[in-house]
Amino acid sequence: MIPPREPDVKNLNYLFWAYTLIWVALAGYLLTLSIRLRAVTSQLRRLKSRLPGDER
Amino acid sequence: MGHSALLTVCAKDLRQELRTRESFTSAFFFSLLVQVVFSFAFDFQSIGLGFEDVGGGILWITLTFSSILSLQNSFLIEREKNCLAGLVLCPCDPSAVYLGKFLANSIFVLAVQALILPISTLLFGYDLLRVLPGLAMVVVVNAAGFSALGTLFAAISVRTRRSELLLPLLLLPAATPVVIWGVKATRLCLAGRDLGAYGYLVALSACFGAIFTVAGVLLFDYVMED
Amino acid sequence: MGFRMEALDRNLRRAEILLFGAVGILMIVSLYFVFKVVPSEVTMGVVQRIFYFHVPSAWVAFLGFFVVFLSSIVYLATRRLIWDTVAHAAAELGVLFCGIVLFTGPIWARPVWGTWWTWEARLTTTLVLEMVYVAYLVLRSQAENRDQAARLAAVVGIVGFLDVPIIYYSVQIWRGHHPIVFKSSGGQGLEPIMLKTFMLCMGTFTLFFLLLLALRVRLGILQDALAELKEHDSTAGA
Repeated sequence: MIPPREPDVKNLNYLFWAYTLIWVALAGYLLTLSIRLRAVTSQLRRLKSRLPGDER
Repeated sequence: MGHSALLTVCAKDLRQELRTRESFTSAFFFSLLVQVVFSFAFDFQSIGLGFEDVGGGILWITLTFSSILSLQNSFLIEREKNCLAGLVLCPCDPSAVYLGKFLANSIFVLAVQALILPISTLLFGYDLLRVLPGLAMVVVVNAAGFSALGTLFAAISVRTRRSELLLPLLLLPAATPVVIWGVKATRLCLAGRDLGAYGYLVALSACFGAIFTVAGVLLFDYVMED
Repeated sequence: MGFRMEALDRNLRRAEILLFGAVGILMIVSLYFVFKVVPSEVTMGVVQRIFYFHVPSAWVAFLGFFVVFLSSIVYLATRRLIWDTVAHAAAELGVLFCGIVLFTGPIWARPVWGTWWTWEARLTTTLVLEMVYVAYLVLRSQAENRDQAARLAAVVGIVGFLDVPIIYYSVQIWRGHHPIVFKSSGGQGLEPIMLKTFMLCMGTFTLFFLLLLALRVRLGILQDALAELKEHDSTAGA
């Protein structure tokens, strides 16, 4: 006898959403970090090129 | 030297409070209001619960929020009168300032409770005298524990921009243990159980108070520098 | 940017590349194990697999708060801002992973216990801890200046972590019916393959934490350098 698959499929939804949430959160944070890093790095570069070469 | 500085700070706060009665009045009326709102919120006759079931929660919500008022006030007054710098420049151990403030705050909170508890018997109709010794012990120990952490956090939050927001935000989650233990002990006490049933909860709260008093003594220095 | 900071920036970048590679591989392997290798748990079915990412998230959050605690102590002792940067980064990560625990917990609880939220011990503790460290981050944003933020946050970082076991214990006294996964004496323990998968995920998440920490600390260092340069620029231009 093949056991009914309904309960497993229903719970598969929860599993899917749990993992999606985790991935969205982690990927989202990683993305915002890299965006902010790139922004700060370019600002630094611009500012360094503007200032006279005596600063470190 | 340390003891006299501690008592000086405490006496200064008490003297100021006796003169203006600002903090006491606002905390007292706030507590009273909260109790009245709870009487409306929990109509004991219709919900089929006795005061023993929810009294712990009512008492500790009242105490928690009125303590926060008192704690905020104790440092806000210093900031408004530009006395924060004076506290920093005190020729004594900063921990004496902390302990003095802690003592004064605890006294304020307990003074408010000493008035509110008899009033709550009128509002909620329970036998205060029967439970008074145990209840008094629970309130004193937990209020002191709450003040220990609260004094440190009040000193921290008063230096920031949104101090009224920050103190409850910092203190309430961190003081969860005393609130949990206070409510549980109060519930057992109001239900007429003897000290053996809730004594361990009081002991735990006392430990909490001790740990964070020590933390306050060690860390207050860093909070007050500027 | 100082010479030491530039060296640190370089080393962090190297570490990030290595960690990114390691995490990438390990994450793929972990997912394969979680979805293909490991069998479904008998009582809870397929949804129990959330456990393999839920518990490591909780571990990483706790690790983050521990790093906040240590860095705060070192900052107060040395007054070197880099330690404050580390504390701030670790707190952000702790809040992030705690948030993941608080979202995946209910998603797991709903099919298993029939309710989204239960005031059971570990979830309640996680909620309270999340609030403690959110308050930490709010404090940082409301401070008057960088040094004050560092100092006050360090005190809260130390006190907050001291509170962690106390909060956990008090909530345990108040409640308790979390599924007991690790039982040393018989009963429902973990099968070897489940344990291996679990440990693999723990390792993956720990490395992921280190990767994010390195990135976030580097961001903090660069932001501090930028602020310093801007100040230099404004005083030089005046």
